[in-house]
Amino acid sequence: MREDTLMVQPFDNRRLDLTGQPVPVAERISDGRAFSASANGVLVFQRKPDPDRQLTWYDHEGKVVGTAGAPGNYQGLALSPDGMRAALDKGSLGQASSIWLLDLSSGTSTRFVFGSASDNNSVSSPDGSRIIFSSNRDGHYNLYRKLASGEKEEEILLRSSEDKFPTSWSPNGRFLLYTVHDPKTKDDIWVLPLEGDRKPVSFASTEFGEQNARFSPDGHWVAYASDESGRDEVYVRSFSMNSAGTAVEAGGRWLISNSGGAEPRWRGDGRELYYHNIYDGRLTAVEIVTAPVFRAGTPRPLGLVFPIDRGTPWDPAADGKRFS
Amino acid sequence: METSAHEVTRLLQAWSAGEQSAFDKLVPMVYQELHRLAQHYMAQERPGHSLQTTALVHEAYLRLVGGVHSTCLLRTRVPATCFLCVKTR
Repeated sequence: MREDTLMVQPFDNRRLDLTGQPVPVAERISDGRAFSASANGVLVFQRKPDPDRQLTWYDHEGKVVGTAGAPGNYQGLALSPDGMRAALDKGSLGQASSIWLLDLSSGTSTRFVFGSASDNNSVSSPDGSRIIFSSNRDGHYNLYRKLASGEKEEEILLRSSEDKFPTSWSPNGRFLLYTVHDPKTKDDIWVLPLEGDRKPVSFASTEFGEQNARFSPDGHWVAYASDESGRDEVYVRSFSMNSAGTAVEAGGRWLISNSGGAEPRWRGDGRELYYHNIYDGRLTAVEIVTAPVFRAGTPRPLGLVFPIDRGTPWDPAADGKRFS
Repeated sequence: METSAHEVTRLLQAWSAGEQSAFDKLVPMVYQELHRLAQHYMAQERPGHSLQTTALVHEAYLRLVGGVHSTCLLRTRVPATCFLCVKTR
């Protein structure tokens, strides 16, 4: 072994000595010794459960333009509205995840939530001063809120008998979009008013799966994914709600993707919407015009290609340019 | 705001003559009027009608000016964006 890489090197049985140069045959071997070689040339080995992952900046053509922070087992990421901080979900698959905050200017990260439970899916307030996240410390995933400075303990925001994951905080600070995961009804999208009696209101709850809702930067629109057509596609709906959680005007709805899409993200100025085409792996951009009426352009595949299993966390830079 | 028919006519004529700013002034005037009319007609529909006022107005607007506005999306270029992603090493 050379660190966690398994090497092979010719061996002279008669002289009982190594010959030639060592060559790597397998990387990331678990425990540094989880392998066995058979007499017929077959090698069996066990990889480490999670590869280290590196936060990497890409341009829209898919070229690497930089890295951020140290390698780690990152399972999720969310850039703050000002683009200066990234909230990261760290942890090995099958084990509890924890939330860390990475300062993109210094490259240093600090743990944000402590404990043995799984904490994940952070969403920043518009001014970046607060963070809402999910934690299963009480059994189901409930919603908690904490100062981004980490000064005080988190407070419970919403507790119920279903798993819930926050996805977007409205630009006016008054609403939270979150996904409710119910094995029977699939995923649904709900709105939590953050003022008044905080009574949740359904936004998209059908027998189909709806998830990953994101407020547009002006707060008037919500992009989300739904499989109602038989495959995942991205839609946009207008959003108009008063503090009591009552819709003040029925709005329109538009199909954005044209060949499958998930995980929508708005550009910082709201003029472009990005999504992951989970059928070919490509990150795709759609130009958006909202005045005088809503219009979406033709989807334009970008140069970034991710694995189609949706396992690659990503987020567009707030103002289009990377901070670090 | 009450839309003056005379003003709309004047803007239409200016726009026809190639004055783009006239179109920009015309659009909100027409949109408001369409919205007012749509709300009026929708109020006479049965409750729970699948049509929605805003969607109706948007559809009508696009049909009205689609030929004119169809190239606008292509003209508004947005700057390239960077993405922060998790890359498996």
